[in-house]
Amino acid sequence: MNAEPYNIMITGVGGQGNLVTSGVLARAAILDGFSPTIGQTFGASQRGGAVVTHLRLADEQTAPLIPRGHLDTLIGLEPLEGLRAAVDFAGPRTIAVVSDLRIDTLDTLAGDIRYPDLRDIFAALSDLCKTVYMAPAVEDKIMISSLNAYLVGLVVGLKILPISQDSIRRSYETLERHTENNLRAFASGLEDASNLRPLSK
Amino acid sequence: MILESVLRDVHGKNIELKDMDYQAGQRVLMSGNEAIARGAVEAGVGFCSSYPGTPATEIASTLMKWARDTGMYVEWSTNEKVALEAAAAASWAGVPAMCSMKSLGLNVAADFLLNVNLSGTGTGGLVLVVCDDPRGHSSSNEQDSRFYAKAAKIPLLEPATAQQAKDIIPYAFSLSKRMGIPVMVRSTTRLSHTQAMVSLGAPSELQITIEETLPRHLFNVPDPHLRNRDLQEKLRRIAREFATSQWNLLPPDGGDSPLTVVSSGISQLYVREALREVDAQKVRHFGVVTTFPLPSELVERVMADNKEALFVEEVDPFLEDEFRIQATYGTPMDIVFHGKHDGFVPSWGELNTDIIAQSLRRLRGMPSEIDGERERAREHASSLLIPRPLTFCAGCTHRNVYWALRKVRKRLDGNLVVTGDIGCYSLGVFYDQAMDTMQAMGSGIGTASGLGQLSRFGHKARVATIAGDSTFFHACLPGLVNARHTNADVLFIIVDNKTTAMTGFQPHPGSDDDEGHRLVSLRKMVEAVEPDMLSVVDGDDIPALIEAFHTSVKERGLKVVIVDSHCRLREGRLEDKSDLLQRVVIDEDMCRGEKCGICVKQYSCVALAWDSERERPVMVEDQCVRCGACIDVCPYGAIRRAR
Repeated sequence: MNAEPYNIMITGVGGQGNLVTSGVLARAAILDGFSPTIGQTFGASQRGGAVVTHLRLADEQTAPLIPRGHLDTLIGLEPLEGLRAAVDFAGPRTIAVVSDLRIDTLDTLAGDIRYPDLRDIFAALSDLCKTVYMAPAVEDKIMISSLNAYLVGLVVGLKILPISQDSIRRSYETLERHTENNLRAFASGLEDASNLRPLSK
Repeated sequence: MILESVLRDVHGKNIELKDMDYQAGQRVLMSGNEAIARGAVEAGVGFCSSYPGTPATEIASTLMKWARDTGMYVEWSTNEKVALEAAAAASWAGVPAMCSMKSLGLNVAADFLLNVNLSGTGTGGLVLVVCDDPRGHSSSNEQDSRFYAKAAKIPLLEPATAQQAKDIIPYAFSLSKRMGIPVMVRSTTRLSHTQAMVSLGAPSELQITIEETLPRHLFNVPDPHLRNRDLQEKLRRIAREFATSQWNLLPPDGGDSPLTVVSSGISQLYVREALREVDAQKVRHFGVVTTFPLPSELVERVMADNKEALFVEEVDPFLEDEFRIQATYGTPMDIVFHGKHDGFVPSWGELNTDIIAQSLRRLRGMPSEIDGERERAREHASSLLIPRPLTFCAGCTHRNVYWALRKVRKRLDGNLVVTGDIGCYSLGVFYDQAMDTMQAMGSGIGTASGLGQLSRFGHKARVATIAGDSTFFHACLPGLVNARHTNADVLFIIVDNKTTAMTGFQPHPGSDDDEGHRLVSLRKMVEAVEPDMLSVVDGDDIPALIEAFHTSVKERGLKVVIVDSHCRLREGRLEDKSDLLQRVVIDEDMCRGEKCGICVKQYSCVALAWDSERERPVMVEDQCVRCGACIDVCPYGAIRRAR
C-alpha cells in the first residue's frame, strides 16, 4: 500500500441499490487493473436505515473505511444521507454528485420533524466539498428505480472517476437483474453530464 | 442483512464450481466470509454446521449454495451449541468439520467447547470460526470472543485480510488434525463484510475416510485435571510452531526503531494506513495473526531492544495483556506498553485509521490536524442532520403485536411488563418502549418465568414475554418448560413468521422446506407442555390480538398466544400478492386530520405519511402491502378498503 487509494463513497437508504452500485464500480475497477476494497455498513439496510459503502481503489486490500477528509468522490443517492457522509468524510479534494430525491424518515413521515430544506443541504455540502453537483431531477418510475445507475452515468460523464467508461458499461452489461434499465439510466446520466454545472460556492 | 453478492470473476459471471479445477490462481472479489467459505472448500471440509447471526451468516450460507457441487454437508443447526457438537462428532468420525457462528453464539456453545477441548477432536479436524461485532452493529453487545480461546486453551488465529482469511483455513485444519483439538479462527465485522481481491487456490477433492470406531476416551472423567495438564503441553508445542509461523507480519530486523506498533487481525490494515498518514519515522509494525498461545520466542526476538510498544486490537486488550504477562517472566523486556490500559487506544467501540493515526500523533507529541474553518462547516452541517431511525417494514405484523400490547397495557393501567428477545421484533424496544428488556436469545421467557413468581412478594404487574419462531427453537424451550413446571404467571407470545427473518430468511425446524428436512410443529411443542391457555391469532387482525392478549394475560398460570405472523420482505421476494387485494384508502370525509393523527403518529406504519400542508394522513401507495391492519387502528372508520 504505497500510493494513497482512490476513495469513493456511495450513500443512500436501504433499497436504493447501494450495494449493487458498489459491485458494478468495483468490477469495472478490476477490469482497469485496480484491486478494490469494498467496506459496507450492514445490518439495517432492509429496515429503512442509511446505507454507506466505502469503495477504495488501490493495488492491494486497504483498510475498509475511508479516513476522515480523504474522500475523493461522493455519490449521494439521497440528499440527507449525502450530507451525513460529507460531514464525516468530505475534505478538500471531495467531488460530490448528489440526488435531490428526498426519502422521508419515520419522523418526517409522521410530520414530527421537518425534513431539512434542500437548499440548506446543498449549501452545507458546498461548504464541505471541493465541488458539488446536484443531479438533475428524474421523474419516470424506471429512472427513479435506477437512480444509482443514472448517478454513476453523471459521475462518469463528468470524468471524475479513474475508472473507464467502457469498463463500467461492461460491468453493467453483466448484471443479472434489470440490466436494460440500468444501462438506459447510465446512458442518460452520461448524456446529462454534458450540461451539468457545479453549484457555485 | 443478507450478503447478496455471489462469487464472481472479473467479468461478473458466476463461478462454475463444477469447473473448480480451473480456478486455481484466479483472482476474485470476495467478502471475508466468502473467503473463509472458499478456504473450507480448499481445505476439503466435508461437514459444516452453523446458526445464522450477523456478521457470520454468509460463511455457512455460501457453503450451502455450493453444497451441490462440493458434496459438503451443510446445516443450519437449531443453535450454536448443537452446531458445535454436531461438527465435533463429524470430526471424531474422520470428517473435516467446520462450525461458524457469531460472537454471542459462542456463549451458547461454550459449555461444550470447554469440554471437547479436553476430550479432543478426531482425525477430521475441527475448526471453529467466530465473527465478533465490535461496536455491536448487529449485536446486543460487543464482546471479545478471544477470551474463549484462552479459557478453552485452544489455538486462536486472527487473519488480517480476505486473502489470509481464505488461506488460513487449510492451515487451521492441519493444526487441528495434528494436535487433536479445536482451532478457533476469529473474524470481526469489518473482515467478514469487507470485499477484496482473493487469489484462489485449488479446491480439495472430498476424500473422507470414515473412522468406524470413534477415538478412545471421548470423556474427561475421572481425571479432567490430567486432561488439562496434557492440553497445556499441546499449547506449549503450538506456541513454538507459531514462533516460526508464516502468518505473522514481521518488522524488518535491526535498525534504530524504539517504537513497535503491535496489531491483531484487521487492525493491521488500520495501522498500515495510519503509519503512512502520520509519516511516523522509525516505527515498526508487528502484525500478529497467531494470537494465542502467544508465540513467546518470536515476541522476545521482535521486541528485543525496543523501548515502547503500542497495541492496536479490537475490542479488549487481549494481545496487550499476553505481552504484559510475558514481560514479567523469561528474558526481561524493558518496554513501556501503550494501548487500552493507559488510554492511548480506545477500549470500546470499533477502531479505524483515524483513531490509530491520532494515537500515533499523541504518542509522538505531534499536533492533531484540525482545520478550524472545516470544523465550523461540519458543525453547521451537523445541525441540519436529522436521524433516520430503524422501524418495522410496511405491513409488518410485529408492529400490530406491539400496538395491541400498548392497548392492553392501557387497559391494565400500565401494570404490564413485557420481557423481550432477539430478532426483528427486538425493534419493539424503540416502538413506544413496548418491550422492556432484551438480553440473550431465550432470555425473554427465562426472565418472565422469574417475574411470574413474584406476586407472592407483592409484584403487581402482569407479565408477558415475546419471542420469534427461530428463537423459540434456539433457546426458549428450557425457559418454557421451567415456566410450566414452576407454574409461573406468564403470557408467552410467539411471533411465528416461519423463517429466520433478521438474518435473511434461513430455514429453521419450524419452517417449510422442500429439501428433505422434517418440519417440527411449533404449536405441538407448545401443546406438549400443556399451557393453561393457548390460542393462535392472525397477526393482521389487531382486534383479535388485543382480545387474545388481554383475556389471557389477566389469567393465572402459563398462557401462550401464537401469532400467525407475516414477513413482508420475504413475501415480496417470493411472490408479491398485494395486487390481489383491494387497495387500502383513507376516506377524507371521515378522517379527523390534525385532531387525531393516531394512524401516522402512533401506529406509525411507513405506508402512512402526514401531509403537513393539508394536515391529513395519506397512504403511500408504493409502500402499502394492502394488509389492511391499519383499518382497525382508525377510531373513526376513515381507513377502509377501496370499493
